Amino acid sequence: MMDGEQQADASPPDLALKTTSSELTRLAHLFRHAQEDPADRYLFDLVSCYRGGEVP
Amino acid sequence: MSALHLDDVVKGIRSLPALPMVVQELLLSIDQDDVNVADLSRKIALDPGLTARSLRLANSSFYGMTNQVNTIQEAITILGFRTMRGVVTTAALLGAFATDAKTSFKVSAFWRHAIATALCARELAPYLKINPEHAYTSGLLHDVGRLVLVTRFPSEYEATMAHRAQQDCSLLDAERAVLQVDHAEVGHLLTTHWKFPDAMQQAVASHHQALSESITPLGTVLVAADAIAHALDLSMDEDDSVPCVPATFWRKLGIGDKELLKAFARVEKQFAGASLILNT
Repeated sequence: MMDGEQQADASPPDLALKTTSSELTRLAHLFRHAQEDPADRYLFDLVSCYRGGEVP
Repeated sequence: MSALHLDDVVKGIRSLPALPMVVQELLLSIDQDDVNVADLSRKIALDPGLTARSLRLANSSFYGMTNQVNTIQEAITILGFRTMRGVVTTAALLGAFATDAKTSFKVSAFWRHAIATALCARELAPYLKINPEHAYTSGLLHDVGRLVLVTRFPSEYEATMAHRAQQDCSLLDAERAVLQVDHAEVGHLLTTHWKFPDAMQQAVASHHQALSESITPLGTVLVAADAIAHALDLSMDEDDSVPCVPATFWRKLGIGDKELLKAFARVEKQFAGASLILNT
């Protein structure tokens, strides 16, 4: 799971540098029903990392 | 009013063409150490439709055959029994719901998502000590209840999709609102009717119950695989959406971020080839 450091890496301002705006728009559309609670952004943040090229 | 009675759903399921008996035997054989491969291959070969569909899949570019195979036995020799077991099961499921129903339901997107979920479930299975073949087949089947609803109750499902568009809600919520039954319940009824292994029946039933206390490890894999397949946008459906899976579920899953990121990459790579089987 995301620890504190990894969550910091996945914060939206950092992602915006790596993920294109069209990818973020599409991701936001895909997740439009998925985030009942802001704490439930885990998968959104992880896929954003992935789309931004963060594959170890 | 489009609400469905469960009795009507059961009647709809019973009116579906039977899945070939040999598919049940193939699924049960996943857990068996001593499998009579020759006997099973003979039984597959007795069903010309299933044999033809299976060989078309086996000869698709996904399996990387250099020469065309013409018999089930030949395919088993070259691809191996485990791979052919997956091929035959996939062929049977793809063939069970051939439909010309004129609805706005996107059948190709449905199967792309099913294959993506199957691949993802197979990737995640070892982390929860689950047989990857069970996970793959369950992933392929997880939304099969939707195909029952679309093919048996096309006008009611059209009303469901219209409700989703109007309310911009998830298709699951639209099913519950309009039909008063959802595809997971229907999938459970179908997999029970088809006498699939209990673990698969339960997993199909619970794939939208991320935080259920009674969810099994296979069910947990399906919840995660379904969400990831949606999130990776592999169905290519512009209306697709990721189901709500709370953060607590991902913490319970216990697979690290790096492992999940690697799994995403492997799934996308495999999917590029696997989706070709839809063109066969």
